[in-house]
Amino acid sequence: MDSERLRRKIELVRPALAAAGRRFLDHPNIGRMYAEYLFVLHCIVRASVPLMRTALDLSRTLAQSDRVAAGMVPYLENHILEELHHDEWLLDDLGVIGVRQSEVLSRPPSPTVASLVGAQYYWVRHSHPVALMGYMAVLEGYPPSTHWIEALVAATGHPGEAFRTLREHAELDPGHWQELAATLDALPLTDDHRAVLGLSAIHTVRMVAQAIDELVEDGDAHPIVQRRVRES
Amino acid sequence: MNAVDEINKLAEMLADAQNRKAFVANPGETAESQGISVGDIPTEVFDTLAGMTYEELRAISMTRDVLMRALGHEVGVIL
Repeated sequence: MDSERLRRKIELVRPALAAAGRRFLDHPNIGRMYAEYLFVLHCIVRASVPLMRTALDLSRTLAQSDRVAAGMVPYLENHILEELHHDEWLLDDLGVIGVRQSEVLSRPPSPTVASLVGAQYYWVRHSHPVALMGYMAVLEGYPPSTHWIEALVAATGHPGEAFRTLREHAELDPGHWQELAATLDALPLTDDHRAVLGLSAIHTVRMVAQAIDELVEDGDAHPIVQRRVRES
Repeated sequence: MNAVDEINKLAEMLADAQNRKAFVANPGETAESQGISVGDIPTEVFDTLAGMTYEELRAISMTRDVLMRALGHEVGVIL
């Protein structure tokens, strides 16, 4: 099964994500840094639907002569609808802890996030749209656990309303993984497709872990954290 | 030797381009020739690595430091 094959590749590097998440949770200033964490998540999530639309457009173009691309069309059409407005949930969560929308939308995302998302545009356009499934398998196949979210709520001291996005993803993503796995297993993948899926997934793990580690390493230096320090 | 030690040795080995190239062609033989006890590595882990392309292994090796650091803390997740 190709979904299982992909999951095993992700499992090889997934401890990097868990370790980065734990270092973040253990940070002494996590209450202040949560805003910065949500900013990074917003940078990633705001790109989800545009990325899928790019893959969908290309899949439709290729569909007549490419059975893998054709098989992705219904999945992407449906999944785009499921992911719409999730970036707005994050803006709402940020609003709960006093971060303005304009502050989030005007700030450029980091090179790490650009590499995470930008690599997908490259692979989708210049290799095959199926590459995006590797990215989605990581982001949706390993949602934050309820235990991790509750530990985060307790550690930050923020109101529960500031954690809506994380909670929704913890609830929705297991179903999303099953849809993705069923789609992958029905596609007539070649070894080249499997390789780009693996590259996409491994790169995604590495860049997400790096983005979280940058939060931890930069600590109080982040702009949103700095403003919150000044205002407190 | 335990599995973590052997996986770490394998990760070190795969950081080298020539070793990666050899590993893609002959995974078991290449690993054993570098003194790695393949039998101590969980089959699922070794077979997954053995089924990867050169570029995938390169991507894994770029994650190596993080992977090894994580392995030290969270053995149960990968094994």
